[in-house]
Amino acid sequence: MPRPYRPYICQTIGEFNDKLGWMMLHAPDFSDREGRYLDHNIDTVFKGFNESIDNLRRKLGEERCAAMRQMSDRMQALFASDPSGTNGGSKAGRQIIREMELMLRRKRAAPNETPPAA
Amino acid sequence: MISLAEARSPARLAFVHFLRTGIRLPEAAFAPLEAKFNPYHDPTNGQFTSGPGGGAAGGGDDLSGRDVVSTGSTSAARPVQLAAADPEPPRGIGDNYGGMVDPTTLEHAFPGLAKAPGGSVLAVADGVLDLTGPGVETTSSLSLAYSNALIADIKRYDPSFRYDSLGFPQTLDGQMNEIGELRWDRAAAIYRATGDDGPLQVETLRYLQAQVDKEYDNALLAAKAGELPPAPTERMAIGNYIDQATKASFRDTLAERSLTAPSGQAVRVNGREYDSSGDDLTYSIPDARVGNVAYDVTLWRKIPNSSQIRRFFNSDFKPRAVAIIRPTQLGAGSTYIIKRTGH
Repeated sequence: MPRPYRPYICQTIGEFNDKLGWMMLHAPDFSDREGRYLDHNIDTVFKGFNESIDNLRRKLGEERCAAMRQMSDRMQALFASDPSGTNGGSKAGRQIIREMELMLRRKRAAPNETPPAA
Repeated sequence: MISLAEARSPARLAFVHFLRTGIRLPEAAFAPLEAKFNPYHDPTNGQFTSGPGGGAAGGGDDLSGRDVVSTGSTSAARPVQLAAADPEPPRGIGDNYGGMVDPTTLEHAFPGLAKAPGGSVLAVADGVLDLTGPGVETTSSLSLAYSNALIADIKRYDPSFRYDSLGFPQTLDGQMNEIGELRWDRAAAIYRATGDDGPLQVETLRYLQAQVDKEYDNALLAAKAGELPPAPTERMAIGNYIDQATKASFRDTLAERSLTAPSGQAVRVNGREYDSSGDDLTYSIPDARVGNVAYDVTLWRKIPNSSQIRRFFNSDFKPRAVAIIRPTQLGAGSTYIIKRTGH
């Protein structure tokens, strides 16, 4: 029987980086092809993703956290506009994932650096 | 408890075979064998003697101790070892599913692991990692029986377990998904109730393999669409994303079953495993760890003597084995286990 979708909320930057990798491979539709869950869709996936960003506020810093939330909203809109990956929205959404990955990498390399604007 | 006759029915044997091997065979392949009488076979010592006119009893194969038989429904003869007596029905969940069809330890999943010398590399048994099998019409009743037996087993360890169901799935995929989920639930219940991590080690292996295979396909599609970064190489990018996505999914599954572990507990994803044996404290980071088994998700074959594998084995938790999980799309023997030296 399908069960409710309750994604793990990331506790560390490393776990969030893994989540970005998952997002990269499951974009643009984030569908539940095996039917494991009752309510697994782009909205519930991004709800969990945003909760992870919020949970890492202290580790990311306020500016980085705010920037990533804005990037997440843009990403969701792009993927929602291109669920079959045919009009460029999916590609643009994945580019944002890539930018988030680079932000995390820069944070590790220079923890006190001011993050770029979203 | 079912009778021995029911246990050996072609339908049941076909189901047992697919659980073990993942290979679909028709029920006719398990029809009762007709043994031919061979007048030149001495049952007292199992040897064949020459018939009138001399000459070997058979061809170049050594058939001593075996009778050549043919099945009642196929024309091809195949040598079989006739059992001296009917074997005991397999033990396991319910009365009819033993370790051979319901693997609950890594030794079931990797036959020979227990007795293999340290440092051995062993392949996974056919079908352990895959619950797909014959058509629905052949296995629905048996899948349902297995599913019910799993639920009963879970309730033995967790009486509060509740399995809400809209009815048994009608499709083969749905049935296999349900069985897979229940196997996970059972492994989690056993671990929480008793600390026995054997079933959890097997389900982790199954789960990681299924995820790796799925993410490999996803990664190839994304790469083909030009949407994966090519750095440092496309193959490395594919490997990295498969690794990340698999770990993220595994965390979701552990969290669903209240198995997420803070540092120090024995079910971990991407946790640092320290080695305090030297002058400096070092660490390695297996992709997953369940008890005394480490798991590494990778595209590349890794040998026992590689520095990464040696670091895993040198860590303080002293894993008894390291499972290397690679996409099955890479070919036979893609996934294997490396046994600890001296274990």
